[in-house]
Amino acid sequence: MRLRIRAIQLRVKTASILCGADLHFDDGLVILRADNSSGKSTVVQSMIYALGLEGMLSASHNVPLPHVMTDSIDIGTEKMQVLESGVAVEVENAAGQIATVFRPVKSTQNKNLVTVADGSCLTADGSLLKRVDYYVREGGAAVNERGFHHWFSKFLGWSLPKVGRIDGTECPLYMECLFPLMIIEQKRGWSAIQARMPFHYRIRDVAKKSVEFLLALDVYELAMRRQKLKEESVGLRSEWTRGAARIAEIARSINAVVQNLDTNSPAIWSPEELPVILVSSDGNWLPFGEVVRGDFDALRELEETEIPRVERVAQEVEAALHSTENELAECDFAAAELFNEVENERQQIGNLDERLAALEEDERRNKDVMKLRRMGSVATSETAHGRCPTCHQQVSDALLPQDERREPMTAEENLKFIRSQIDTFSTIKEAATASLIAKQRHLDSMRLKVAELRGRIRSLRQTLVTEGSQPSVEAIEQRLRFRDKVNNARRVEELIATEFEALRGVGLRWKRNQDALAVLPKGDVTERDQQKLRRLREIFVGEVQQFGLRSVEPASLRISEENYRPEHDGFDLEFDISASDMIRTIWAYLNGLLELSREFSTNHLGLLVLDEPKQQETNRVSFRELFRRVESARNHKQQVIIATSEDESTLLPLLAGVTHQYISCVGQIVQPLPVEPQPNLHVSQDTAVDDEGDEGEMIWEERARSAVEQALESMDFDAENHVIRFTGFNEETLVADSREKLGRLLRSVASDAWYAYVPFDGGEAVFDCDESSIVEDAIGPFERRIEEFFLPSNDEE
Amino acid sequence: MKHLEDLTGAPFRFAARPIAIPPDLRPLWRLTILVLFLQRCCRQGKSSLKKLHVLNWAIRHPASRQTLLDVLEGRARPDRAIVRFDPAFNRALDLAKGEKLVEQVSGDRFQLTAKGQLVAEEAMKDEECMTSEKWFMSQIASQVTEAKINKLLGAVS
Repeated sequence: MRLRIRAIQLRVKTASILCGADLHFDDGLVILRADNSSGKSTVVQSMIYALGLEGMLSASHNVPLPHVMTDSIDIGTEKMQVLESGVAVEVENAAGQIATVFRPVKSTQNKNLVTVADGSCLTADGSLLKRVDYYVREGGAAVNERGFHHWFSKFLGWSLPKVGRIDGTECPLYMECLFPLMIIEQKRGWSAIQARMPFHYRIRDVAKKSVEFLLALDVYELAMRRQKLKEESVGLRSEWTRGAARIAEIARSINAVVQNLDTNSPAIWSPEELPVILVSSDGNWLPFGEVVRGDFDALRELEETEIPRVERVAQEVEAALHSTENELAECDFAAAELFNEVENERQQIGNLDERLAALEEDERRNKDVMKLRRMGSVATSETAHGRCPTCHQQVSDALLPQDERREPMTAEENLKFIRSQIDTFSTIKEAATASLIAKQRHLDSMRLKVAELRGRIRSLRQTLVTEGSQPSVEAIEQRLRFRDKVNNARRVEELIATEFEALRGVGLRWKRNQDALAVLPKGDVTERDQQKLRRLREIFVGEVQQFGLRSVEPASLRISEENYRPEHDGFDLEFDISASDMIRTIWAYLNGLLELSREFSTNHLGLLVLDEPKQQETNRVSFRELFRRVESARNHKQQVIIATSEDESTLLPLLAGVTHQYISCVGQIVQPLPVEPQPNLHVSQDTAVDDEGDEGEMIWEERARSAVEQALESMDFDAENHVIRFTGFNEETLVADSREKLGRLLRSVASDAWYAYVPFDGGEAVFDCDESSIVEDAIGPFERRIEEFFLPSNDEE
Repeated sequence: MKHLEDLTGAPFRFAARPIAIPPDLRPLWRLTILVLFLQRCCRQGKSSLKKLHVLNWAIRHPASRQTLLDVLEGRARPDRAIVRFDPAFNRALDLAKGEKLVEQVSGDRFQLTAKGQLVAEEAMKDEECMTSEKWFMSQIASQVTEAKINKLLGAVS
């Protein structure tokens, strides 16, 4: 991964002149020297702004650039209003691809629209390159196809992970959170390591997360995987619960209960503990399958025998009637008994509920007591310490008579005690509920049986009163009853089988999921991560030694595994060291990250931009050592840009013997430019595309303007017919017979060209065309001739 | 005892285990409830002992809470529960006086002190603390006047 800033360009247009700055940067150490308040920081800030990263400086949507880019510029003694301004940077990635990014600062167009040219425009002529517009600083800029940071992260080869926010939602780890480790701006960047983290994105642990990503620590990957697996397991669990609920529903419909099925958590069933559906049959609980088969066999047997004539079975029928009547009486009695039991059980569960509610209230109050004890105004009281506020003697922690000899439990013990009671009663309640359900099903099936017996008695009686030669009604009805029952049971059996199969699948997936979770390394920091952090510490300690850290013994410094920042005795360094040592620490840490990326695969971009690193009057020796240290960046195709306002006379000796590119600016960095590239009214289309003077102009603006200009150039003044002929945007010939008509036609040319190039969003142009001002601007030089041409004709009429 | 020691082969003694206490018998809980009563349900943080006792009786159980609400709204059942005076509450009042959370003014009237006010405010700030108690107080706050309390007690005794 790599980002190299090849060049930066600033442009400021005033009413009369064009100002700007063009800086080209090499690999390795680049020194940008300029006097104080000469615009050195403008360059660094423009770099941040051009890449749409100003969110790393503040949440504000104002342009974070000095007034020279936004308001007014001093030329000599004169103050000039800035009419238009823009910045551009040319960047290169690890694959050697080059792109140029243009962004308007002060402009009539949206400053959040960034134009990316597919190649080099600042160090070479890029007028023919393809250009695409992207958005920054607006919703979705990091994830949408049209978002600039989406493009930029692809260009860099970064795949930004999703991170959790404080409110529980997710968002990408925005680039604005990563660049503060590579670009340090002067104003507040030097107060601490990661002093300028954009907390306004409300990303949880943003400072830590950004270092993790930049160092490509496994912990990141692991956390993501763990999170994903956990989400999956939640999904599986609810799938399981739904499936189990469906099975319970089916069981209810046939007055059955389900056994060995945990409805709450997925499981893989062992062969001896397969879940079974039990139905109550004649007072016994039998597996549903068995009952179905029994009924099926009985039906088969029945169907194989002939339906008997009444005369042949009269006696048997009478006997059967008698025994059935007896059975009914028994059944009725048993059902009444069972009904009482069910009611009893229900009553008991009601009592348990009451008891549990009371316990829960107790639990809550106990917690309240513990909370109260921690409250500031209470914590200091005598009572909180178990002492009498009047006599200061020990008193027991209960509002009972104090001569009560037994010691009360502490609130914590009491809470545990209550919880264990809640546990016990909940378990009892669960068991009672399960038994209640079973009894209810039993009762229901008994009632069915009663109904069945009554039906049977009816048909037996009917059989007895029918003519002797008729077939037995009872026998026929019995067959019908059985067939119905068997068919029904078959359907239910099938349904249950499919549901169980589905559950088995969920169980297997659950097992795989749990296994995968179990093999994830327990600790957060893997061996490879530790290697990286150890090496980072070595580099860091070496550096602070080289830079002359005094406040603490360099060898005693560690890199925290908690937040990956240097610490001393388990505390963030910031508390222990002097201000100038703080600066040394920041140098060492940032450059440490850069150097680490030479040995390990990380997501560091191999770029470091330090604006005014010599803060707090860090001494010159240290400064020289910084140069010496970062000089090596060149050998690794990395880039370190240091902007400083140090006097040339002191700076140059410090740089002696250090390979570097030296850019020194005398006076203001943003200077009036030679007039030549300024876009004027007669430029052809080719030069209009040239970015030198027009970096603030979008392609559709250029096209609209040049289309109007070409139309004007092509004007043919036909004096005979009093008309002007000219070529429109689509090569059509347009004819104007008055000044108004000409204006109207030109405006349509402008809008034709505009809408041919402007991006559309949901069927609507993102920017509307201001054709009047385009035409007015362009028509200037021709105005007189046109006026004169149409004038005589008006006279004649 | 000797037998036991022979059996276990180690010295043997009985120790009284601490007993469980209902949380509303904890001094801190009751002190906080007391200052909350005075702050939320009493004008100018002043109340008679009687009223405090009634509030204290009501707040401890859901059923008594409902009874008090019914009485205040004129829907009292004739067979409603009887207000009981809780000796533990008197101890809590003594503690509160000792802690200077309340002071006794003119006989049986109590007044919230500045320190008590502070405790009440802090307890109110923590939204997860004493939620149902606070909710109950907010329900009765404007209605529970001394006159109504007297009526309630008069009707019972």
